[in-house]
Amino acid sequence: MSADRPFRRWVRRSRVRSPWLVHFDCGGCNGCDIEVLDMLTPRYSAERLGVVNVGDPRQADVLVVTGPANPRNAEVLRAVYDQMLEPKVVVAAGSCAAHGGIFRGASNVLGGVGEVVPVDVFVPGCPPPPWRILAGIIDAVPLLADVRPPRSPSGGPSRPEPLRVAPDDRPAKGQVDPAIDAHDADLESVTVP
Amino acid sequence: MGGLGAILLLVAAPPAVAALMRLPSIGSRRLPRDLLACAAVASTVIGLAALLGGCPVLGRAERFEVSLGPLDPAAAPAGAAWSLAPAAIALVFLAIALRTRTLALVGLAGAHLFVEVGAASAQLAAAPEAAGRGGLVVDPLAATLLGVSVLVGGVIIVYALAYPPVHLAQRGIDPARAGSSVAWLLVFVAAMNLLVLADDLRLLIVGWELTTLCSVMLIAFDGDAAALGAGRRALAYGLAGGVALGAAEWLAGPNARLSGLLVDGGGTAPVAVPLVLGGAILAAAMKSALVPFQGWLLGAMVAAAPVSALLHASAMVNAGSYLLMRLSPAIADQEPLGPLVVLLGAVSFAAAALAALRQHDLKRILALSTVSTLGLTTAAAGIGSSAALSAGLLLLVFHAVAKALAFLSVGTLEQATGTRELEDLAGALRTAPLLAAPLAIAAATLALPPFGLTVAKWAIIEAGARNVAFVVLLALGGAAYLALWTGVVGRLLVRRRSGSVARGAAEPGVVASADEASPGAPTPGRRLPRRQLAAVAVLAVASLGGLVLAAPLAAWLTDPAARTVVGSGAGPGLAAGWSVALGTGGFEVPLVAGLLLAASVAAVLAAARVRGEAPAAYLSGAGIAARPGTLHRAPGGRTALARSGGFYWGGGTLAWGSDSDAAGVPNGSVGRPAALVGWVLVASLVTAAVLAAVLLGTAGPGAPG
Amino acid sequence: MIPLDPLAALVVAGGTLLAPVAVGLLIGVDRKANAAVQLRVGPPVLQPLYDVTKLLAKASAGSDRVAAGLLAAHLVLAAGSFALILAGGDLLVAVLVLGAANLSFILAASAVESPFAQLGAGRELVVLVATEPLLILVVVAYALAAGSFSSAAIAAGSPYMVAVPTLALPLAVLLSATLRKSPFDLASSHHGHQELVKGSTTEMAGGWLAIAELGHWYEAAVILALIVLAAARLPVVAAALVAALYAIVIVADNTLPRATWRAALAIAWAVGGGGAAIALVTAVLASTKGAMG
Ligand code: SF4
Repeated sequence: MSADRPFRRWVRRSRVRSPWLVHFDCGGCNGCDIEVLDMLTPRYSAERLGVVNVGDPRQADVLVVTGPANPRNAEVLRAVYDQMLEPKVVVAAGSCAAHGGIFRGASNVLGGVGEVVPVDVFVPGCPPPPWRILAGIIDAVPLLADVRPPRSPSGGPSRPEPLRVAPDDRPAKGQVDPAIDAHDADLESVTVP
Repeated sequence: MGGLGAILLLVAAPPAVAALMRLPSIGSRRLPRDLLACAAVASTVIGLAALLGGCPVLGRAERFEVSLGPLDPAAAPAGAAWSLAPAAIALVFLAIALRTRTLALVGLAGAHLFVEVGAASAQLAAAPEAAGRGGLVVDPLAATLLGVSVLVGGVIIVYALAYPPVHLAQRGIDPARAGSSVAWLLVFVAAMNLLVLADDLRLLIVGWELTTLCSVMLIAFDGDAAALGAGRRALAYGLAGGVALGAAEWLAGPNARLSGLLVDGGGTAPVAVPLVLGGAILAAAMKSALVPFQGWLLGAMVAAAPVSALLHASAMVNAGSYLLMRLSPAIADQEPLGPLVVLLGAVSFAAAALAALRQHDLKRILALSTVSTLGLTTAAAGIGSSAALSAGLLLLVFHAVAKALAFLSVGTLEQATGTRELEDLAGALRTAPLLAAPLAIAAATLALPPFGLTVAKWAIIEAGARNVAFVVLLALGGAAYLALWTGVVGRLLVRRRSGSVARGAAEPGVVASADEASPGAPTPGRRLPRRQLAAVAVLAVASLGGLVLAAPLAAWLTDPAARTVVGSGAGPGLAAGWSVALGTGGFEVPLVAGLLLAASVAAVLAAARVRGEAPAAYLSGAGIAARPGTLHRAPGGRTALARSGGFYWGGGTLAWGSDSDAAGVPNGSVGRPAALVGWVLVASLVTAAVLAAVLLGTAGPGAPG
Repeated sequence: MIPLDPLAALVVAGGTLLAPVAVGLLIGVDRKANAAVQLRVGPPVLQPLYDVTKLLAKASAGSDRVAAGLLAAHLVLAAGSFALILAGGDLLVAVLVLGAANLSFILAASAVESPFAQLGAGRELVVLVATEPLLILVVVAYALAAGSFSSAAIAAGSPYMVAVPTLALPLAVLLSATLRKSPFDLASSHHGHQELVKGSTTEMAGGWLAIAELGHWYEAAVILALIVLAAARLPVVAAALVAALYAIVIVADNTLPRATWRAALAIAWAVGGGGAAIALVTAVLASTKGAMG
């Protein structure tokens, strides 16, 4: 048992420290997708968290979904989710992904992606800024430490207020992004839950 | 004395049976013909055994002269007959050339006849040699080549007994002709045996010309336009080689012997020795289809699979390498010739391997890889050290087995599926594993260490390391060779989702399984003759046996062979550097074999851990498309270059220009600049030979007598 | 048959087992350095080890049976190639075994259903054709300079920087290719800036991807061993050499994104092949002079 402990800790640490992304667009206005790509640029230095955009669900740990669920893409989204291996988490980025956003109520929209897959973190915003998406991912990675039992679709966000509130004002030119500082603090907190 | 009987069996029995088989009363009934052919094969095998019993050369660097008795060229009437025989064969060639109504061929055949008649008259004019010396020589080199020719050739012929009827039926030709095809194959093997055993140049040339004749007849056997075209091209190259060799014989003077040429030219004038050797090299390059003379061998793929197998593996092309190995010390003595041969071989090796990368017809790929491998054996002969020669010979043996296996399995695949396009056969290892596995085994033995081929390649690189151009070419060619076989097996291994659209039904010519033959094939694949499968299985086992057999073969056959050729002074053999201790260099064959075994065990264990069906392929988020998306088909229904799926060089920027027309039939390669250089060489050699013969005849210093 | 005393055998076995950890750490440093070039913080140095551990600890991944077997063979063969060098065996044999390892990986990539994987396998073949000749040329150049093909003898005869300085070029090309950096990342890239991000590894997931990754680390270990052989007796110089070549590779990676396969082939053959050919010529000349003097 005692020999087992460090090994388990190492494994859990590895899982948390190596979130590989796959990004799936359900068909919003593409605003969120641009922000997701922004989040992956050197400015936000997502790689310091071990984030790699692998673009292949079978190799990914974090599914970042944007846009509302609709009958045509629900099956594909589900297939992408099912191809991912446990442990895995889902981050729904943007209002559309949360509950349908401006498309909510349209005849061809089912609602948020929570209708199709179990979402772990909702990131609010239309579109959410890049650092907020990153913050959502940081919130989600502790869930990767252990294999969880299969989950059913989660539905929309249960709370009206966002899970995390990142400062809305953008940093002035030349200033350090306050969000990045915040994330560095987060990084310390997520190492081993 | 066992020798004489053995020789008779070896050289005489197959033609006799072959002649019998031509009789209509026998050829029409199935059983006796097959029995006769099997008896002929058995007789050659027994002959080989008896020969080796009488002349124990295995493991010993000894040579035995064997006399043909009253038929020996040293005896007066037989000598005249042997001298005239090449001229007679040249007449046959002229007749064939006249029937093709091709001016260039007729001219070439005329030149050939001229040279052969000249050589014959020189032989007849001279006093016969003192009797008592045999015209044949048995030594480990000859024994190795005989083994390849008789054993591999025998398996091919057993396979062929069942092949031609189907092949001919698929092409709408009277199956009754199948018998004569097998007869030609038997004569082919006999001619090859004669060539390998001959020490007297006259015997050598008779064997040489007979192999040319057999190959031309067999290539053109189907009689359609493609076959006739390929036959014409084979005839052209064969004639050119014959002219070069005939001129060499003429120059070498009467009663010349191969062994004599090695001992300061024998009776040949010193001036003429480089010319004689040059002629032999040229003839060998034509026979072995080295670049730039590869045209005929690429065209020859129109022939049936056993014919291709025999040409590529056991008989035809090996003759060129054999001649160069036999003459290796003499070539190494003549300063410019040795490096020239090394370079010729290395260029062939690299160019053919690179060219093969952009092919998608399996037989064409195999043909180019033959050219490539023979380039390597040629280079080994040019290097001339004991280890290099031994490695070249080892390469030749293992290549023969693997290539025969590859051709026969492609033949079986073609019979079962009606296609030999790599793209059409993609996934064959999954859907028809029994049919395609032999091809994969052949590829593995050609590409993986420590099978004989890789060991030989290793030894040749280490032997020729100081020649920078050679090493660079070898490295390029070696990489292309590895990529080639990886690409081929990779396509055969592609997984296609079961339960998708039945592709065989949806797309004619695309094969989903062994028993789903394409429409139009009269014999469904499910009932392949057992004899064919047995032949393939024997070769497959022999190929895999290379893992164990390489070391003993080197010690018993190829090392003594190299020592008999170059003498024991030319460095240690291959077996000396065989399982050398770690830390000193040398191919640690047992160790690498163990590693390969460990990898195989790991592979099996890993595969066993996988449970259930593989998950669906990832295709941009959606499930896999229901149809095979990677097959590219041109409107006409033939497979187009699948640039995304397979591995092909685009545009011909690296390999030399496209060499097949729309129907996949190779264009004439005679017009190419490289080939032109070759032809100019032939012409100048012949001119030089004639001039030299005339000059020597009048001036007298080198004149025999 | 293998007169290797127990201690040496232990060293070889231990070295072979530890090699992936060392290569993993080196790649961690590499990722940090690359991030610094792009003005990022970069992942922790342990990141590659985290990644592989995570993959190994994933819930069992389904796979194609044949591909799984070939991946295992790839790992064993690549490790064997490295062990051969470590044990002082024939360098050319080690390179041929490495070729067999490459072959297994490419077959594993092309054996599966995904067209992306097959496309990636085709590109792996291009990289193989581009780099395999360089491997052989480097080995032959070493052997000519040292007078033996055994890696033990080559190590004993080092350093070779004076005898064959241009060998650095093919070695840099080989390092770049084995680490899958631009312009040799056309088959499967670490970054999103190639148009084919996950080519040959598309259908590998979880533990199978980890096995593939470990196999590649062993391949990298073989290349690094080849670099170290240039100055095996001077560890500091050898480390500096690795660092210098690494610097070249990182600069190339950041300046040559999205190279086509033709460009990759041209760079490998022109730069690497040219350097290797010059090295061969100098080695032949030097050894001839040595034999006469
Ligand atoms: S949340 Fe807003 S920005 Fe994002 S996809 Fe929907 S509408 Fe576009």
